[in-house]
Amino acid sequence: MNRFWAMVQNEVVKIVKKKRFYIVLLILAVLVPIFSYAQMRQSLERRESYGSDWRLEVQQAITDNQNSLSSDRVPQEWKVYRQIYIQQMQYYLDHDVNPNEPGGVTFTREFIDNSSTLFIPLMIMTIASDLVSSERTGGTIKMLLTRPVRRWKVLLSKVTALLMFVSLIVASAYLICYLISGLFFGFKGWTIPVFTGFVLNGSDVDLSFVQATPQWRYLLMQAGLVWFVGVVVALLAFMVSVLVRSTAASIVVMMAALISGSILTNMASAWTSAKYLFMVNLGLTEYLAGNPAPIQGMTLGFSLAVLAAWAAVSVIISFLVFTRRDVLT
Amino acid sequence: MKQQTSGSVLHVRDLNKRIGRKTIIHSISFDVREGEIFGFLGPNGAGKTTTIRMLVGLIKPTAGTVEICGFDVQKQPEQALKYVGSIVENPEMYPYLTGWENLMHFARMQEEIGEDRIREVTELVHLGGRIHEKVRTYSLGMRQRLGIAQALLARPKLLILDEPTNGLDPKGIKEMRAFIRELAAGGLAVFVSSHLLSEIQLLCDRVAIIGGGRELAVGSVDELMGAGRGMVIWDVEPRDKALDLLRGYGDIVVVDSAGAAALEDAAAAMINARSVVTETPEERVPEVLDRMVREGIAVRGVHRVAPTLERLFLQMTEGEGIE
Amino acid sequence: MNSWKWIWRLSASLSAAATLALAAGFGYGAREMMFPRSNGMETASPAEAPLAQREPSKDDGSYRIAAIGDSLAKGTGDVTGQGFARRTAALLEPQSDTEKNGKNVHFLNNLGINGMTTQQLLGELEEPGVQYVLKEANLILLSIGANDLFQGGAALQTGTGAPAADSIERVLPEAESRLEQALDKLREINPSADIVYVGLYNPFGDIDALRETGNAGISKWNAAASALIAVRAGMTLTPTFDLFQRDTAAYLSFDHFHPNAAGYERIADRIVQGLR
Repeated sequence: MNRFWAMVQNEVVKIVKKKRFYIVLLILAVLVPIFSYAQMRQSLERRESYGSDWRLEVQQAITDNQNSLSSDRVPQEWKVYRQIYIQQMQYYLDHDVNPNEPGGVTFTREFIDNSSTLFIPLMIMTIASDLVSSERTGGTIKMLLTRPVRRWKVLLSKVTALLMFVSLIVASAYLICYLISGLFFGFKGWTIPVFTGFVLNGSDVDLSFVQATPQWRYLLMQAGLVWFVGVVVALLAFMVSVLVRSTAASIVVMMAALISGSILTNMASAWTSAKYLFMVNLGLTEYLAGNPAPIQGMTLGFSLAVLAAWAAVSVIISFLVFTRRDVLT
Repeated sequence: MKQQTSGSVLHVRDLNKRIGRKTIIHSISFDVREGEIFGFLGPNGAGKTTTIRMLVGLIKPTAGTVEICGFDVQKQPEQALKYVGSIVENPEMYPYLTGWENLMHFARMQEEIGEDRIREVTELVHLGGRIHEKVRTYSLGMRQRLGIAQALLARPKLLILDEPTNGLDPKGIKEMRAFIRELAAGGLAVFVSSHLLSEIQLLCDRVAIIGGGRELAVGSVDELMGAGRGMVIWDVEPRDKALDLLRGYGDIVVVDSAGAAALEDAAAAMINARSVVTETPEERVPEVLDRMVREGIAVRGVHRVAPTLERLFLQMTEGEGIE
Repeated sequence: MNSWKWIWRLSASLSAAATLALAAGFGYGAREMMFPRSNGMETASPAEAPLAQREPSKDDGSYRIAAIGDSLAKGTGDVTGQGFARRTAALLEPQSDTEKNGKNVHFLNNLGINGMTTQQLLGELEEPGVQYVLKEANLILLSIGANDLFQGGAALQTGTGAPAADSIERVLPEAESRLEQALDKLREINPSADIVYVGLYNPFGDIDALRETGNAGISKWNAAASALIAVRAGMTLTPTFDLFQRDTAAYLSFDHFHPNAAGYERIADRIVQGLR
């Protein structure tokens, strides 16, 4: 057992010394100020047209969406989205709660919502995709596997280190985002109520389960869901890293999967069996916000089950292949 | 046939490897004993590296067994690999870690290797001065030494080195040989692969010769190398007269220029316009020399050269040649 | 090596803490989402909505304009998208040199929705967000009724159906009474604002077959609306009937139903004249 943790320690130190994690932090530290600045410009512009009154702004958004409902040129699926949006916004107005109260906490919530399916998985892939394939390209796998340690233990130590970094990446995404956007918008907003629990029935929203959740709790739930997605993506990328020799190729494979996922999601697919693909199920935070699922019949429970199944299969494949395969180069 | 296994550290029986439909290793068997330097000789592509990978468990044999100190590498890798230190092909380490950190990394994978032992092996391979620098900055020779330090960390009983002198300068090669001999003198069994006959002759006690994935011979170096007749390069004038004289002997064969081209580089460098290359039994040389002097042939030099690997193969496979 | 220990301790303790928090968040979120609790509240209770309880805005010496109603209020047909609502705001804006002491103008919202009928307007006026906007405003521009009379105008846009005289006759009384309710509701929401009702015009003035039925129905409607507005304080009706009588094509957009930019500008001119 001691030896196992010593091996996990090896893997952690290698990830750190290879500066992969610093790259992740650096990317966040560069991108978040850019987005914060863009967001600030946007809210300044809005202030010009609506004064500082968010209620007028929200009501105008409702009216604009109502107008598009009567248009023949808007596709039916979009209308469903808009009907749901209208009902949710009206709920916010009914309770006099600003859905987008500016502040570091709200910015963080929105930023993570937008980055949970592509950006954060990408950060995780920078570490996961390289974990096994770099040992192979570097030739060090020969040293690693000629030690008197069973191969599955070597692999398990790598998976453990990877999962540690998934948590670190998600946590630091929140931290960096909050600290930097706080400089722009202030550090307040932890207790602002956010409504969750919109139950969707077709284009109708059932409001009887809606709860006013303080924003910090919302962030906690959101972070948990993002973390789950991160773990699944990490395990999948790890499998690809076991199967594919080069790090670049394994990143490309995973990127292709993620991007195809976001394309499929936007197509609001009529192809319903696409819901069994892992990449259309990555938007778990959408359920939390009460946004409609990309494909009919998807719920949080369904998505969690699909993701868990994919993760389990990829772990099994990783271990089977890694422990059996000949190391030829 | 029951092989004598007392003192046998590495015991290889009927090793086979098939990849797809192609069998690349055919039934290789040998033993390596305590304190000996065992050579594994064959041209590039003969299957040396594949065999070595099977010895250390990187490749699973299709058939046959590898036992290290009595433990089967496939069935009990944790026990078997405890006794082996190896460098397979190039000594590849993590370039972004220091030499010391690399050793730490591998030490942690096994119990009972403390910092004292790391310091000890570092001294042993003379890396003390730069052990705390990143491996990225090391020369090939230093990497080779770091690789050996890593292999020695766990006080193995068997050391497997794949072409250990590859890429080293002449001074480095000499140091490496001396170092390997020193280790063997301490009771370690050393398995060395090479494609150079001279290398094996200079270093090893026993040798297995392989070609085309098959084992051609196993035995003591003197025995096997002696079997092939040595070559002699005569630097004489006038050349024609000497040629006639040499052709007069039934057991001396004059090698044509094509044959001479197959000599190892060091020997080939000695050949000039006056040279005659022959295959000559060792005991004939004084007699021939005597006659040349008497017949007024000026002898500027006589060099005895080890037969090339190709010649050896030719003799072993009786003209079958190598691929 | 010290750096190893340091790296390990830091990353191990941080990641352990992060993992615990994230896993807890995941468990909490998954439970809340998959087994939602009922909030025990009636779903529709806009009467209690805080926004509906607010007082109208204080007069700050500026025009605070909101528009509500059908596609005319929205500005459909105006290529610039301004409609009479924004054009009115622009015309009220003090002209830099000549009217230095003119009022400031804030255009708050345009709540016009295409195809809105008096029936839908009554529903809309119950929305807290709408009420909020109307309370904030001190000048409310209202356009409604055309969709009641012309059944959404959809049939007319394509030119296939004509407004039958009897159908207009039939809907008039009900529509009138709903207009009355809407005006009262508006006044209830905002007791002090100026309310400008934009009268109807006949978009079929240049189509002989339709001119007369249209003219008759619209005159009746405008008369009824005028009567309702005349007895209510702070309300005015801005007539537009004449604006589109003579050269209909010049002031209507391509759909031959809504005004074009020039048509809206003429309506806005009228509104501003009534306000000065």
